[in-house]
Amino acid sequence: MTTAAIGAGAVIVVGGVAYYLSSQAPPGPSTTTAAATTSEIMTTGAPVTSAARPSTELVFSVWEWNPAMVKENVDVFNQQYNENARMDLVPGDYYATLESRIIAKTPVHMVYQHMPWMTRWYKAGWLQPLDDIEGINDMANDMIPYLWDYVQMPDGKHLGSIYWFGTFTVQYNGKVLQKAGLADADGYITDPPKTWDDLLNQCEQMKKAGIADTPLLNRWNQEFSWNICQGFEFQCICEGEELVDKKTHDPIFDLNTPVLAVCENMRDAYKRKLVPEGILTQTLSENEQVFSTGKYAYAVEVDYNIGNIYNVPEKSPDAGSFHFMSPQPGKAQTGGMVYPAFYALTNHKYYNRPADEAKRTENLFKFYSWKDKNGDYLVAKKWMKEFYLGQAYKPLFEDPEIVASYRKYYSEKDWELLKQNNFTGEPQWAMRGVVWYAPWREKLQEMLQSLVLGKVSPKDTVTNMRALADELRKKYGGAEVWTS
Amino acid sequence: MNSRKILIYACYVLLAIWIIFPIYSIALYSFMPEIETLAAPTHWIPDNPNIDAYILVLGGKGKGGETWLGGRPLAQSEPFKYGLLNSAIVATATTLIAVLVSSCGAYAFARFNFRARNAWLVSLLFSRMLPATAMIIPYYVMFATWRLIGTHIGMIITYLALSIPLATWILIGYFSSLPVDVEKAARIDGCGRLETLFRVVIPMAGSGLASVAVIVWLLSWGEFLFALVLSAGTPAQLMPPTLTAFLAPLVVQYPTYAAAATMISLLPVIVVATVFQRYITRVKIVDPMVITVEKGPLA
Amino acid sequence: MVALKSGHPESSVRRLTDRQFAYLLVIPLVAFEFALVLYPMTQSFLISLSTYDVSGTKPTFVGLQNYVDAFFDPYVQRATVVSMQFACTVVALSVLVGLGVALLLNEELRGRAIVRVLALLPWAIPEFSVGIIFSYIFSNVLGTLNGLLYSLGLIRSYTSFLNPDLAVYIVALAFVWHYSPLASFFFLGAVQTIPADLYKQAKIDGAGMVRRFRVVTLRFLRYPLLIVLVLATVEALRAFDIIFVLTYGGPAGSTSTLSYLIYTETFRTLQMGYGATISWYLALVTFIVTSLYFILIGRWR
Repeated sequence: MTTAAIGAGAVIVVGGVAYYLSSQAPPGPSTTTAAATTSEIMTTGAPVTSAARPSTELVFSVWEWNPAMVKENVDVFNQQYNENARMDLVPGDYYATLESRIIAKTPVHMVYQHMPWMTRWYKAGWLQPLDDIEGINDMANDMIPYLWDYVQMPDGKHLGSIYWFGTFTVQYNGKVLQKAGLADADGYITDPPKTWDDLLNQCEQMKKAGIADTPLLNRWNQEFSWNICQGFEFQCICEGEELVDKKTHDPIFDLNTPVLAVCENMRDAYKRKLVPEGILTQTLSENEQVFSTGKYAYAVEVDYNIGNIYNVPEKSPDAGSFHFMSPQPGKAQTGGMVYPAFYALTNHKYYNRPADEAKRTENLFKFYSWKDKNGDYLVAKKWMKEFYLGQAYKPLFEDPEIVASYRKYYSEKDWELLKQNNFTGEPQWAMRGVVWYAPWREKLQEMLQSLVLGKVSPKDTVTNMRALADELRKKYGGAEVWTS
Repeated sequence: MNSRKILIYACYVLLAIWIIFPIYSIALYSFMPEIETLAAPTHWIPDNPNIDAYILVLGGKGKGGETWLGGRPLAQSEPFKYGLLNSAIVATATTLIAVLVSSCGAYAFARFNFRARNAWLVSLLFSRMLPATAMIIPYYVMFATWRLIGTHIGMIITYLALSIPLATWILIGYFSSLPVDVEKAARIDGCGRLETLFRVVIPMAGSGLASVAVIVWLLSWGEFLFALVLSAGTPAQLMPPTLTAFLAPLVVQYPTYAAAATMISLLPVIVVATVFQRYITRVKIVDPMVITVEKGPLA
Repeated sequence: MVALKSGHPESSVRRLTDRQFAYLLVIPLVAFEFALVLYPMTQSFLISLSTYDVSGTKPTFVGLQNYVDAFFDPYVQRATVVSMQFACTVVALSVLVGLGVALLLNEELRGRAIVRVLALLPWAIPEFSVGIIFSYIFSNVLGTLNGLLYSLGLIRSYTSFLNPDLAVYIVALAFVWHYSPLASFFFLGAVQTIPADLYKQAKIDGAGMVRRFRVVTLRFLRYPLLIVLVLATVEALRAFDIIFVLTYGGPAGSTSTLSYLIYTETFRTLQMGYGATISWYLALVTFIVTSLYFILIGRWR
């Protein structure tokens, strides 16, 4: 019986340890906040008599983009507001993981968002409208106007603030174009292609001349949200294809709208081997990095990467010769596709939050979205200066430190172009408030991959996309879900 | 026979390459400096090997040369360290309990006849057939109701559910291959049935129990989906999701961090595998369904 | 040995019959299984009888409509094909590699212990880690396999292994790397029990290496082979981690097995009822295949 007793004892001990551990505070800045309190005491020379940090922690769930910076900002927030906030890093599939957590009512206070999911989450009742937050109108007036309009849903509520925004354009490597005689001595393109077919023809020229084996790096990588769907959306915007009716939220694309030309062009690019063969399986990081190797002439890229990778001498052999194309090839001759990401708050009522916790959440929100306790654009400035993530506040585009940082890697011409694109650009209005867009986009990635590979013809792809959109519109509803 | 020996040794070499090449691939990237990782063709020996990736993964501060960090520590390293600790605890606890419970049950199946014995055997096998992705939502709902999400207990319970059927199945075969006479002798000498189990059978079955313990431990250490859904972002977060946080498809990070983190997570695995490899080869495979129990073996 | 127990207080303990004792031992096991296996399975079935709204929280009862939809769903049909491709490759290669390694390890040569540790290692490494490791090998930007072939002069430029035609087989290969040690240890256990005299006898009778294998070895492998086939098939059909880490369901859905499809439907589209339906469908497929094994190999003599 002794062995049985020992076994039972071991189980009890282990169980006790496990139970103890599970009741401990989660990993996070609990240690740093304690240290900060101590340093506060040290500097003021008096014991801090203010209330201890709140016991309920605020959870800010972020995706994988420079979490080290976000963590640093969280620490500053905790110090300034004497708070208990934690950054929760969600690996990989951000939306899928968070959605299941929210369904189970696991505490999450602030999240990142992109437009298709923001609509869906709001309809599911998970997001908190921002209009009642104290000071929100001041923040709104501070922002570039169209961005605040963009986050307004058809029922009038605003859902998010800008975490960052930028413009997708066709970027080019001036050195490579020079070899083909398509760029001048300064590395700027002399004859920007007017249509996507022109672009492909230029690429074929360069391929034949042996300058670049696969000159075009389309945005066709494999990933959960930033994938070939984005490349497709970009080309649609270039051609002026709207995809969705703004009033009724019906799909309005078919074989007679520009979407067919977009699909044919996509297939063409792959068929003529103008894009790398393995592009559909490359990760986002790989796609972004290889453009700097000098083996590609054109890439559909977001503006911040020029300052982060391409024109940085330590990372890029052709540093200094990367520029934006403007306007973009295509019927619409647009400046580019504006793409924002947002901060959003989870719904207080859904979580049965007490009023003080809701207030704390609002402080966290304003700290990140706008100004810190001292009235500086702390977070916004850091993101813009160090990583070239555009922010929603015009004064920052004139801040001398920020301008100096940009001008290190962006030429004068590109800097002006960037400002112009960001101030007057067009985000995708088609997906704002469209409830069926997110599930549609989900299935879209595979359809586009099959299209590019030639498994499904462009005509059939468009027909299938439309059929799926109609089906999902019927299933989830259109504009009427906002009025009923 | 010389040609045969040469053939055998050649096969040994092939086997060694087959096993070592993947591990070398990832070890290589964990010691490379960031700039070298994009070099093509691969540098089989890095020009400037360093352990910066390991330092960063374990929470050290960047030296300033790392892209995208600006001298800050890696944010994924703290969850990762907790993940390693939590996984070790959960795996060990699961193993202890699972071995205990399944050996009791397996002994009953191996030595005793009772109604529904066969039916239970079949159900043990079939419980493994449903894919993990199917059981996730019910588990999620159950655990949310019982407030077990993000607790160590919850994860232990989950892994017990995944491993006990398998462990029992293996142990039934193992116990039944042990000679009954020793047990009979013990009973004649006056041992109670429970005593027989704990004092006689279990010491004899040492290697079988050890191999089952290894299987259960490795299963609980490396299981991904349940760890991701039920524990990521909570105090009880386990190693697998914290490790995948280094893969970062949205960040243009060089692949050294994920490589270093994977190498670190492989250390306990290698230790466990090396220590217990002799036991695992002694697992005897007997079909539990075929075992017949003599009438009244231990009366 | 066992000490004599004098004065064993048998009379004061109510004696359980053997049967009751057995039940007592088995009860924790059974209770556990009820609560944590059978109950979720039932829940899963009940969930499969509803469709969900866009937030994944409001179910609408639809009876067996999900099952009907799944039957005609081209994604499910395609996923079935992919699952079959994956499973067949895994099973075939696991048996071959496993058997080969087992025969190798059976040889009494020096270095055997170290080789055994090495051979066990891939199986001990968690499945998702294997996925991470192989993503460093098969990547078409920094992959070591590309590097190796290039250094050996076999290819002139980096190719993409994870293209839609090859991806499922490549992922299966990675899975075989992870899984075959288990197969080899089952086979090894059986091969080690073969008496050496049988080989001697066969050699005397003039049988060559291959003939000896067929006549002597195969006979003893019947049961381990059945076990390996069953386990490998079940594991291959269930495999999820490696696909999730390596290809996210693959270019153009070419590595979207049923198991991965369940994840997509449940967590990304938030149609949990439909996801549960597909998982029962997968369980059915698994059951049919393993039953076939039992029937076919059970009859092989």
